[in-house]
This record gives sequence, structure tokens and C-alpha cells, in this order.
Amino acid sequence: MRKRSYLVFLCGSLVVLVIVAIVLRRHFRYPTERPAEIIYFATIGNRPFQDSISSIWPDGSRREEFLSPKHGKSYLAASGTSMSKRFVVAVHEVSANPKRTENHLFLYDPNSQVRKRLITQEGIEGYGAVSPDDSRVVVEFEPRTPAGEKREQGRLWMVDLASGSIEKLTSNDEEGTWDAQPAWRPDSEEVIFLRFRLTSEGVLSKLMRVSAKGDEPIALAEGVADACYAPDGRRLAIVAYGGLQVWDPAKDTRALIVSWSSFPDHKYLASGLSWSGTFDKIAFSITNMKTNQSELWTVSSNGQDAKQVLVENGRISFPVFVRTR
Amino acid sequence: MTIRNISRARIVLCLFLVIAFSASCAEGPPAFVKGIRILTLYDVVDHPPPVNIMLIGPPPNAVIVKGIQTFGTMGITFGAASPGSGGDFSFDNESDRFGISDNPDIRDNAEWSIHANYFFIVPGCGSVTRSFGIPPGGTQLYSVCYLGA
Repeated sequence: MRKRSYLVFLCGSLVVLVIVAIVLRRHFRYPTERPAEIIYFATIGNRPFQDSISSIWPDGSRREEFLSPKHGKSYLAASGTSMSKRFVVAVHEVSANPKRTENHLFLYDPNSQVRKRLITQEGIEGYGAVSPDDSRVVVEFEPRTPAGEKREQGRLWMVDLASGSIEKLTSNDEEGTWDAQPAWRPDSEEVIFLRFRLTSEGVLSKLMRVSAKGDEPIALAEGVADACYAPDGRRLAIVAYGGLQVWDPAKDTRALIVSWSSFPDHKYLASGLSWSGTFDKIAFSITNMKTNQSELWTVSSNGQDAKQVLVENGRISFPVFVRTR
Repeated sequence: MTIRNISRARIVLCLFLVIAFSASCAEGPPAFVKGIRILTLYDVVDHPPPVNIMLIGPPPNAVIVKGIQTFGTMGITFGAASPGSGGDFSFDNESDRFGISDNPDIRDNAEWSIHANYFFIVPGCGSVTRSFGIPPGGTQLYSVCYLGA
């Protein structure tokens, strides 16, 4: 009897030691110092409610899924500036009454783990981007109109995080236009976005900019599928005909830094760009048509050092560099 | 059994409970793999005929387009539904700002007639109906409008 209990004790201790070894290995597998910025990104799943938010180091290590899908709830996009600051998440969930799928933007506090709805007004919510100074969020929003009334066009709205107030940022009386894919200038004074316009030739896209105070938007360029500002607030990374480009509007110079012709098996599906303030790296995702997998890449602004950071099923979307300190 | 042995047995039991608790904390409840997800996209780069086409694989050069109506009705079944399957025989939905129309509660392992209507967003794309065999666990479909010369 005594021998048996010794054996049980020995086995139990062994199991504990194995688990401790696994935990220690996980923590010390990458002995390098934590980088100044890491990448948050969404993985849009291949089935309903399979969408998640993860983080990864720019060298491709330490991928961690921190918002995982559960029954009837998944996560389509995240935006923030720092791991220790509040960030905005687009939650895809089933509403109770009437039962239907809806997207709601939530403000998450990583310190207290508290989350709250960003917009209390009824409407269709889309992507939301946190300003670099963490004071505001620009969101794609379409207020719900009473039955029978003319439906609102999808525009950008500004949410003040201190007061919780929401105001319309962009407007346009032209039928068949809608605004999407907002991104902030690093000084938090300006937002760029895409305005889609319905024409007899189909939907055309135009890159626009608007003051965060809400003045009249100004057109920057046509035929753009994605855009974000450089950390200097002067240049832009854009996806336009041919591939990923760095554009300086003041000098009107464009440099093609990633040509899609160098990725013959890949296709770009508009899903967000991010330009690191620390590493001079631009993050983007592309889909490999042969493997049907999504790939996260980073590249320097001069087109050098292109690096495949991650390959996985689903569609990698909305990569964003966030500070770790 | 001595008191010493009972104490050791308790220690082992506690250790296993701690391990079991840690394991349960590490993984949340798994998500069901089920339903039909339709992604509605738009292509202005390629120039095939001006109709929307529903594909199984990802399309080239497409951007997300919202507000596309999607309908589905179930036809014949192929066998028993998967354990996670819903029981709906039809759906009526609209793609959201992420270009997603999710229909998680449909009955899978059956033939479905799927209809996508671009008419109110891009009239030139019109609408299209296609039949798909939806396997156990569901699937993802791409509805892509090509509009060009």
C-alpha cells in the first residue's frame, strides 16, 4: 500500500515537473528582449464566428491569440496604440431579439479587463481606428433609420473617448457614395479614408483626407485600395495599381516598393495597412491563391527586407503596430 | 492506510486538481464550426462579363462591398446533419461593413440554393442564384461582382 502511494506521488510530481518545464520553455524560448512595437491583427475565419484577434512580434515569433471566438461571438478587427492603453475591437455577435448577426464596437481596457460599447446609438457599425493620442476613435457608422425612411449612407463618425459623444465627421449629399477604411495621421489632427462612388463604370475609389475637426474632405488620389500615414505624417503607404507604394503628396513622388508581379500566386484583398513608428516597417497581408492561405508581411519603406511574418488559414486583416511600453 | 499515506494522496489529488484547473483556464470553450459565411466583394481590375459570380476560393483583386442581400433555401439533404448544425431551412441576410453575411444556424450536409443581389448597391451587377452542396460543418462562399468592358 505504501509502495503504491509512493508511486502515485512520484507520477504526480513528474506531471507537475513536465508542466513547469513546458511553461518555462514557452517563456524562455525566445531570449531576446521584447521589441518596442508588436503587431495586432485579426484573422477572419472561413466559417461563421471563427474570427479572432492575435498579437505577434515583428520577427514572426510569439504569436498569441488573445481574443478567441466562442459560441456566437467572434472578433473582426482591433485598433490601438499601446498594449497598456485601451483599444477598440469589432465584435461579431448574435443579437437576442430579433435574432440576427451584428457587429458592435467595444472599448477594451487591458488593465482592468473591462469592456464597454463604444456607440450606444442604434446603427450599423464597422471598423474603428483609435487616434494616436488615444483621445478619439474614428468609426464607420450608419445610423439606423425608421422603417420607410431613406436609409443613411455609411459615413465616418468621431467618438470622443473622454465624453463619449459621437459626431458625424464626413458627409456627402451625392447618391451612391460611402466612406470606409479610416486611418489617422500621427499628430491626430487628420484622418484619411476611402470614398467609394457608384458610377456607370462600376464602383470607383478615391483617397480622401479630412481634418479631425470635421472640415470639408479633400480628394488626394483615385484608384486606391488601402492607405496609411508614415510616422513622419508626410508620406503615405498606399495600395494602388501595381502594388504597395510610398507616396509623398507634397513632392508628388511615388515609389513602388512591393510589386504584385513579384507575387504571381498571391492576391491582395483590401484589409488594412500599418506603418511602424519605430522600425520603419510597413505591415500588410496577401492571400496565396495556390495554398488558399493568408500571409502577413512586413517591408521597409525603401522596399528592402521584405519578410514573411506569418502564414495561416483564414484571412489576416487589419494589422496594426502597437507599442509595448 | 496510514495518516501519512492519506496526506500524500491528498497532495497528489490537489496537484491534479490544480493541473486540471490550469488546463481549463488556458482554453476557452471551443467555437462551433458550422454555417454558411458569404463574403461579398467587388472587382474593378479584371474584366470578365458583368455578372456576379459565386466562387468557393478567394477571388483576385477584390475589395469589400457592404449591403449585398443574400438569401438561401435548402434543397435535398445528403445525410444526417453535423453535431453543431443548426436547423434553419432558409436565410435572408445582408452583408455587413466587413463584407460578411453569416448564417450560422442553417442545416448543413445539404444542397442549398444561394442568391446574392447586388442590384441596390451596384445595379450593373444584378443578381445571381447558384446551388451549392454545403458539407457537414458548413463552408465559406465568395460572391464577387465583376463589372467591366
